[in-house]
Amino acid sequence: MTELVIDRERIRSLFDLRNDVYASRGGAFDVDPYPTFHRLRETGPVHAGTPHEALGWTGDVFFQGLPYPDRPHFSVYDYETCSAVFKDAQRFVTNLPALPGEKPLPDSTILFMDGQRHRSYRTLVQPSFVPAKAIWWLDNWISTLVHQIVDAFGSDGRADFNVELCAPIPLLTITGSFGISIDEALEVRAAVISDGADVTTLARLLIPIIAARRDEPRDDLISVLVEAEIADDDGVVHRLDDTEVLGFAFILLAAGTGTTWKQMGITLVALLSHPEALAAVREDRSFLRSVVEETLRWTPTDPVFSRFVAEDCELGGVELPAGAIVHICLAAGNRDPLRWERPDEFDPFRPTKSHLGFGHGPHTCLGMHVARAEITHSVGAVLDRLPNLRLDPGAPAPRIIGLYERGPDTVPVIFGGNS
Amino acid sequence: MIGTDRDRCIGSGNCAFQAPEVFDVDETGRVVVIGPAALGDERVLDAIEACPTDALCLVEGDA
Repeated sequence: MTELVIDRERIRSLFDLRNDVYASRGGAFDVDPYPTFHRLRETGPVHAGTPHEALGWTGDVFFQGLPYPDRPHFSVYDYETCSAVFKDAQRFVTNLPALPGEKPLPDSTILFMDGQRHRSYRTLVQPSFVPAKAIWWLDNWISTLVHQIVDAFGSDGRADFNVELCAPIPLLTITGSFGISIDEALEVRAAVISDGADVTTLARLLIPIIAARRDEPRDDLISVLVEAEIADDDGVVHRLDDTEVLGFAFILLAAGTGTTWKQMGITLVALLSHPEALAAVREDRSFLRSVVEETLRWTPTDPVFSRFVAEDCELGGVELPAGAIVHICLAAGNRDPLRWERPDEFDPFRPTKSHLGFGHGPHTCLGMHVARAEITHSVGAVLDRLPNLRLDPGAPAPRIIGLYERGPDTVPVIFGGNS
Repeated sequence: MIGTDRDRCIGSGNCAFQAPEVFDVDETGRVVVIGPAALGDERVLDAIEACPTDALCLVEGDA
């Protein structure tokens, strides 16, 4: 494979995400939401209203389950009830018929499918995302990519990791698995941020690749998709058509780039701000696993996901009417004092306990093990290759901002030079 | 002993992540128990709890 020199300037221009985070998803929200979550949880697990209303946000919002002004909204703030809602896929569903004036949700992507249909479609890709497959992702795409990007930093200087490391790695990992070259992937990114022509640009790049893989399958994700066989309701087995393959490709990009970008940033900020944890990782790289998991618990990048209520029911002592929306505030569940001591403290030395950072239930994050591999490998690589890496003491301290999608505003670092 | 319900299992790999010497996900995308679980192993208990579709349980008898 030809050695590609990553152009740091081009990366910076494509991924400077102050624009992204300050979008309609409450990016300008820069207050710590957790004290409010604790206060709410104290008077009961379920409350009427949305998380952003409870936080006093009156600006525009756009996320799953929002705004839906004609439906009643409820929010959940403790671990047990959040977990229960995620798992109860009969009562709490991802898709319901639209009310007059609402835009129907497509059911062409697994994000908005329920029941057996969801299970059948997800099963097509799930084997490519299991823990044992993390090696496949690392060997085929992640390792080389991280090597190339970190190589471009040299060993002496400064960088904004948010833009130059955390942003490109998740995108280029996924596009790599589609068989798209780095140059072409950056072309897609340019289209995303300029005229939103990302869909057409991506389709233009992928359709010939899909056709090529139908002819000659390779060891990549598009080949998995074109070879997948699914039985329809009549039991007739068919393969996915181009629209269905593209649908999967879009959801993988939509769900797996921004999230991992921000979570990697949060992990770096947490690690570089906690000397004890950093020393432990420098001593033993396997401790990175605890750091990554504790960061997911302490500050998950997507703090809330929602469901539609399929039938009248009671939850946490509150009556929920069918058609209502329940916001599962998993970030609040992740700091439930009934499950974790000193829950507001970032402490990767604490005993491991499963958390809700990747969700739960049948829609639990498909890409979780790949995301973990990307983050662990990237953080390990910069620690290995950039001597004396630390947050730039001369730059403003990074802040975690955003409401429904959270991440650091910058991750300014310096490396090399005198210790 | 660990009971597995392969019909409920969606192959998320949560269990394999929590306790990799005990659980794995096979090529069909379903859980397989690959090693013994030590009695009272917290990670195994956590894996059972962390299963997104309640496909794992402890069965009467030795662990």
